[in-house]
Amino acid sequence: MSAPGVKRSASAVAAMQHQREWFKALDGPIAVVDADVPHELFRALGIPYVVNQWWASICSAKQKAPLYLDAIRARGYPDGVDQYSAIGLGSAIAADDDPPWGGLPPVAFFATQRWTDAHARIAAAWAAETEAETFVFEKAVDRRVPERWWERVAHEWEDVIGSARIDLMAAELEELIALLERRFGARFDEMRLQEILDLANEQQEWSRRTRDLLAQTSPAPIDIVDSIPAVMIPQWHRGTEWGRDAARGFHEEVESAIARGDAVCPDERLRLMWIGRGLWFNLGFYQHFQSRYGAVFVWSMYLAIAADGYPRYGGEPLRQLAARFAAFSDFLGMPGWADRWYLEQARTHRIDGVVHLVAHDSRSSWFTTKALEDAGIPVLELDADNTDARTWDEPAFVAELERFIEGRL
Amino acid sequence: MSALDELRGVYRDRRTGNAVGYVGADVPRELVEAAGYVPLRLAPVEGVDRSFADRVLGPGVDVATRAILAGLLEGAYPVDRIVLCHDSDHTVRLYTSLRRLDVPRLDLWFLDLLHRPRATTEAYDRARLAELAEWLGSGGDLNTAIGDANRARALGPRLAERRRAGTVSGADALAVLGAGTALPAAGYAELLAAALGEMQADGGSRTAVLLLGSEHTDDAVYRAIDELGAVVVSETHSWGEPLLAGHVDEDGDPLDALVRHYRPRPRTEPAAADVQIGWIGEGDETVAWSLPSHRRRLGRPVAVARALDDLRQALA
Repeated sequence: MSAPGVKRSASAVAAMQHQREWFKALDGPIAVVDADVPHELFRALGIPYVVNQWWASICSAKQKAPLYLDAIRARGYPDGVDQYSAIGLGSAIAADDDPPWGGLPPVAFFATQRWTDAHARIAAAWAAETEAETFVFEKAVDRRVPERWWERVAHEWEDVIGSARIDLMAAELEELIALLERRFGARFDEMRLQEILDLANEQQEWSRRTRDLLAQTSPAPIDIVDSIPAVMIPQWHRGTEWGRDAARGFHEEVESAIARGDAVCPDERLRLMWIGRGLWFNLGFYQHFQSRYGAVFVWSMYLAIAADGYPRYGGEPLRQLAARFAAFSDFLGMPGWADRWYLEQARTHRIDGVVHLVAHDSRSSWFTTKALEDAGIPVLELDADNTDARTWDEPAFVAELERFIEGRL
Repeated sequence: MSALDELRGVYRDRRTGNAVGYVGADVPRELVEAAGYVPLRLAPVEGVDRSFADRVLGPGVDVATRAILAGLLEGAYPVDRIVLCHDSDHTVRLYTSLRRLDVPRLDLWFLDLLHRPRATTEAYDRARLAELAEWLGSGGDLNTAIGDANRARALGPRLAERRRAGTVSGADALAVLGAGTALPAAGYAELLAAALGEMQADGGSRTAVLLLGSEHTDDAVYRAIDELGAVVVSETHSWGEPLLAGHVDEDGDPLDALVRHYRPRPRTEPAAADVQIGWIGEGDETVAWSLPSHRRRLGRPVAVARALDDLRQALA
């Protein structure tokens, strides 16, 4: 049984309310863009966009993913791989008289980065099945693995990411600008982009302060059911004053909660880490183990990657933007990059146990689990898709986590 | 021994000295040969225990790539220098896992050759090829290596014609093509020319199959189709006729020419056959995203097969 999760944070509630109002006011034509595509460019051009994976999370939360995946399968595409990236397309082609939040406005453009073989093919499917024009960024691979990238990337991005990759993406951004100007009648303003980048940096710095506070606070004043929407919804409005203010507001809320001694679980006995994408159709799962075990999910990647993966300082705006995204998927999923970062996060947050939702497209799952186990931090791997409820066996997974807690933590 | 027998033997055995191994379709064999080595494309080796590799790479990577990882970790290949490339997510994941596993006796190089049809990608690829050439020590005559490879490629249309005329089984065609990934180009071209002359029509008429979808590092599917009375006459995977597709320009800068040859995707767009089969290998479900575009291009249905039993239904 799926449960939405109880949200206690005013910031989380406010963020969701803002998101509803923003979506209601959204007018087409829009762009649908993947999470690892430079949204800031679309914002600088004044082009309204919806993030593909955020939309998939809404579809999933509203239990529409199976219907939309059926629609994809009916057109001859696979419905059992890359669901997170495919559900948006399904929502655009499915016959649904009750779509979530009234459904997407007309989609004129789809942008993705070629993180997996499926991504370019999903873009081709958007082009074939809808009226959308598409753009696929390359996903280049660097032979180097930088040490402790999270400590260096904000200011040393030229070296950490590598000039070749940044050059490539910066050139692709220029191509994309020309396409978008033509398609939407927009005009690129570099100074506007710089304003957006500066606001985005401010926003992420607030997230970093919040992450650092939560890492050192026990019992945790909030759990990830609150921190995820509180950080991610502003993330999709990255580069706005609202986004920056929302991140600051969340920090202040957490700071106040800590000062008051608030606790999700006053009898906190276990601090858990969720590695992997959010379980959008069943956020209640994260809170299921609090009362019986004092087990609180205190960490998810969303707040932490906001803190460590996004800030970039210096350089020309387009290069700075390219540096934010040319290696973004490496932070979360590349062996050598991701596994070391997750271990660092587990240590700083004093994690007792990890639940690792293993994605089939993840390059680093085995290495991440190994790094944590080798460091003495037990890991439970769950094999399911984060948006496709068809792959989720609630009783079985609850039982597994209970056995894990009782047997290994 | 006939030339065809010799090529069959090379395809099965795949052992050669003085080799640099490579994984993926985009590694320019010409660069390896120009450095004085035999380029040996790695394929799964029988009898290797795959259980550790399966855990490392996971079910989202195709079985052949997992088997190659297992083979590399067991020292099953006669190489210690290996080039991997960005032809597919499977190869990227193999490389990034090997890098993290840090196997001391393996000297790895990753060729990040990308494929978007844009000048930005072409410029990036050119720089990556130059880096590979330097690592290999490609000091020999690259133009000669390109010429040798082109002589083999020039035989591609004759092989394609033989296949559609029914003078060679699917399994033999695959072997003849695959042998070229384990031989120096000049010698391969000679053997291939001789083998083409040995191919004789058997008088029978068979259902012609265009094979789409996943890679085939062995001939199991081809033999099964042969035994069902049909024959694969064409395919899109990179162990098949794309190996002999095209021609690398022999005028101008050789690295530029290699980029122009290896960057484009798809490398071939074969015509429809009597039956189109989309083979989805274990761990390669993602390839199914490509099948609708094939259906649209060909204007024909594509039967999906995941196991040998599915082939009978596909050919019915």
